[in-house]
Amino acid sequence: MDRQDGVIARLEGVTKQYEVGDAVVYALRDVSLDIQEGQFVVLLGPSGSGKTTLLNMIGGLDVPTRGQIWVGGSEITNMNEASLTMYRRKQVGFIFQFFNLVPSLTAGENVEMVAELTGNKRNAIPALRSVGLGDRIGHFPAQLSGGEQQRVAIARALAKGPSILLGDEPTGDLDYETGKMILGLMRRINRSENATILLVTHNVAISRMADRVIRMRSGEIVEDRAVENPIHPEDLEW
Amino acid sequence: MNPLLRKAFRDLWRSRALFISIIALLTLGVGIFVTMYSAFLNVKSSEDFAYEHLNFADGFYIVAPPIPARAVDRILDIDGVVAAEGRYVADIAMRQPDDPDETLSARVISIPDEETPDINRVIVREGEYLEASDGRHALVDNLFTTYYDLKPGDTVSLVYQGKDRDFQISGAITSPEYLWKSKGGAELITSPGDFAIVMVRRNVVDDMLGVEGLINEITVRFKPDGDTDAVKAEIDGYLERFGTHHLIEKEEQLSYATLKSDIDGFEEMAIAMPVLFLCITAMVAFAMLTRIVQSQRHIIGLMRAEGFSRIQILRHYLTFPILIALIGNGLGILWGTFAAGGFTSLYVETLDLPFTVVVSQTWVLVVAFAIGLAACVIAGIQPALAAAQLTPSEAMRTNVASGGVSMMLERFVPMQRLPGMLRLALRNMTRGRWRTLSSIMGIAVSVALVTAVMGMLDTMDNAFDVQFNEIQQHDLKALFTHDIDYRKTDVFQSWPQVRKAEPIAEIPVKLINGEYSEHSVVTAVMGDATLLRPEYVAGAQPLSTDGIFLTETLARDLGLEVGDTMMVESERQDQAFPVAGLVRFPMGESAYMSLPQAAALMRGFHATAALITLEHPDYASEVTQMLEMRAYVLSVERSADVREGIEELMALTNQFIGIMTIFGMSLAAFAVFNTVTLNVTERSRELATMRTLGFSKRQVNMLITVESLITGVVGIILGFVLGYAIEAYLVGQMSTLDWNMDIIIDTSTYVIVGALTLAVLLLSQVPGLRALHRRNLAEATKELAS
Repeated sequence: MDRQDGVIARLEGVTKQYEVGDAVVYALRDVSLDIQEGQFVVLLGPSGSGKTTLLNMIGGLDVPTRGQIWVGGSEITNMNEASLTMYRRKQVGFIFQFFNLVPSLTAGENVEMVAELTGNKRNAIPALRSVGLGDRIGHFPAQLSGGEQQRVAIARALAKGPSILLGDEPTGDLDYETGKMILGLMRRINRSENATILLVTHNVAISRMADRVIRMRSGEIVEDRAVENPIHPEDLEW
Repeated sequence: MNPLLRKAFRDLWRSRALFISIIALLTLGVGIFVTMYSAFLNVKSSEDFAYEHLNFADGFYIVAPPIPARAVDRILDIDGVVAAEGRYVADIAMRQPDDPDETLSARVISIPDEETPDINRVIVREGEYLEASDGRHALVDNLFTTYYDLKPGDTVSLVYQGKDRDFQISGAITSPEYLWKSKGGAELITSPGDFAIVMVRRNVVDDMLGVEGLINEITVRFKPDGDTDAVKAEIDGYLERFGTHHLIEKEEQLSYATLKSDIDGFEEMAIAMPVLFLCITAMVAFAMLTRIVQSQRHIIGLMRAEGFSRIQILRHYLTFPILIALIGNGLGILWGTFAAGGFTSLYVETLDLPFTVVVSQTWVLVVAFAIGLAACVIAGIQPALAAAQLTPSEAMRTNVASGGVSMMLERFVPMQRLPGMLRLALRNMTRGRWRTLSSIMGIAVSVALVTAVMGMLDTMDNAFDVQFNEIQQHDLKALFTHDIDYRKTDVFQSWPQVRKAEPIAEIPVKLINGEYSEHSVVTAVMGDATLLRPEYVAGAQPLSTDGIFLTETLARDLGLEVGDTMMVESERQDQAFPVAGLVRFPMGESAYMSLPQAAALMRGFHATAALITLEHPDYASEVTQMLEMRAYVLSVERSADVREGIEELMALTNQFIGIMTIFGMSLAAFAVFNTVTLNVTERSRELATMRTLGFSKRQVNMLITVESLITGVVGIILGFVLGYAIEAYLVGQMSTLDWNMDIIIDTSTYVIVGALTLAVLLLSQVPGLRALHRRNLAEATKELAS
């Protein structure tokens, strides 16, 4: 894969299958796609459609049964365990539905823990400030609201300076207003820093703010379309 | 500070009650090791120093009949003999200091008129040594003077052939020959008040016993690098011309051997007890760390997703056991070091050793630290490896427990017929099989420890009961001054106060089977005797046939079985006997045979003592006085006094068992509390979900209680089995001290330990369940990583 064509991630014939007793279950079936650098992509689909599996494959959390994946010019499907760890450390930022903050570390420490891994410890505070939590650095997760916790998770992902941000239902556990605020934040990061974002959601309404929408069903891509005029997250309704 | 280290500290702090209890367990284990092993080293060094400093003899030649004192000069001329001293030793009666109407046995040992013996030097603990040729003073052993609160200047009365002879105590002494004070013969334990060591100048012995110019014992020290066997052969050759003699080597000397065994047994306990504590600590820590890893799966997933390597995860989760080890070891070593001094003093004081040598304990501290750390790392390595091996995608998924074991269980148990709550509890337990197994093991090991130490008390109580109520039926034992015709005891039988009187002979012998030999005693009674009957073990019933009956320990040590033939050497005669059967005396060691059989060893139908039962206990004083009027009666022992004396002597052992019981119970409480608290807290999400689904608080409580009870009952039963095995090991250790006890655990012990464990178990649920019921159900059901 040549990055000069503006593709940050490429999947070719990616299949993931599980054997349950005598039966074979396909989580992904022969998926191929390119993701352009700086794109805001929304992955839509019902439960079990394979969108989280696809996200995990791109994030180096899981490996396909067949097919290849390139991210940032490197093929990650032939990486060994150590290389995959380095890949996740340097190139990928994750944002989870349940925030997954370490409860025994403060907001600042949660971000710092990850920033330190990449040797960018000094990124921690600016990252928190960039998500508007400069005054909540010393608070523990239990002292923060859901929206604030998710913003810490975003800051944590940003602190590494990743090539690609992967969000798995990041607004799934948030109320309407807070969810929109988080989406706005992600959109701002996408636009201001040209960050590539791949966001998994059930929520069809969110697709209206994306540059591109990929719809999945039973492990296959059933729709892949560009959004002509993405709207601002503040204007989303659901 | 590194954020991960900070996380580890805060995780510890969040579960502080559990971590503190594990640290407490570790502190106990490490502290007990430091205390006991340091005390062992100190006591052993003190003992070694005493033997070395006091020139303890390498050998004791016992000669019969007495030989001329000049024989020692010839032995001194033998190349390889560094020193040799002759003396006269005799057991005679002494007036009991607090009740002159009664007598006890005293061992009178002569010391030269002008010199101080160089072999077996004594330490004067209070008062002064004897003046040269002093005929009015005596040195008396310190245990005896302490027992009766006698001071230098007080008087003791020796009785010989009906005549009293008073001596002022010049000094209270400790002799290396009697560091472990024992009268010898069949009695293993001698109460310090029942037996006195009295040292007097030679002229006193000559005058009192009429043995001028004669000796019956020679103490010898050999050249350390000489050919000792050749030297012994030369001495044997020389002494043969005088009559019979036998050598008691240093290692065989009763006091020396018993003290060594006692201290060696203590060393084994000093290792076994802490190992037991550390095993329990490791098990509880393993259960807890496994659960921490389980509860932090999502955090681990996140860390792996964010790029933490497996090594970093491994290191992070090893930080927990290492922190526990650092804190627990530090505290354990600290209290152990302080307690070691006190424990050493207690032990030295109880043994009445004349010196206390404190040796450097640095390596003990290093070993203590290493084993504490090893226990924690062993406990933590598997959970940490499990954490490191989690793949990110697997870690991020909700943990789905396997159903395999449940399905297997259902093949054997008709689950559908069980009440719903029991069915659910059983399935929960099999679903989390590691959790259940670790809980059961935690409870089992704790219960085992308490059962074993409380069982030791039951075993010793039983041994006392068997020895003093079943085997020994007599109220009084009249020791004779010399072997007399056994028919003389018929006189006692004719007294109206006496219900029964039987003759008994206790003959010092050497038991030989080929290359194996043991110095011991043959106890002989009439075939129809009832006042001293050992327990039957194997072969023929005691005295139902001719031959010798051995205790299991003697038979084992000599490599003999029923039907084998062995040699018995007494002072007067060597005789072969078939081993007719095996018997057991719970306290003490002896061979057993009928008086007519023993006649060959004594060259005549003789008795050395009489056993007497009274018509009423009130007759004890009267009969004692009547016995003491007989010239051939040396002293009279009351069984009740002997038992009381031995029980006093066993006070240290009982204190030790008491301390271990308290430790064991604390340990059991900690372990059970940890196990049950974890069981509730780690399943808060699952239990909250049950509540959300409509289960009442009572039903959730009931579910947990049923699980706890099943786990507890299985753990308790396993603990009883394990406890019995531990007790068998401890009793086995005591058999080296000639205790031959049946392993007994009273039903009441089982009931108390079981009930207490279940009570702690049920109470331990309360904090976790209360916390659970206070939680917001909606939040608890959604919670993943926190």
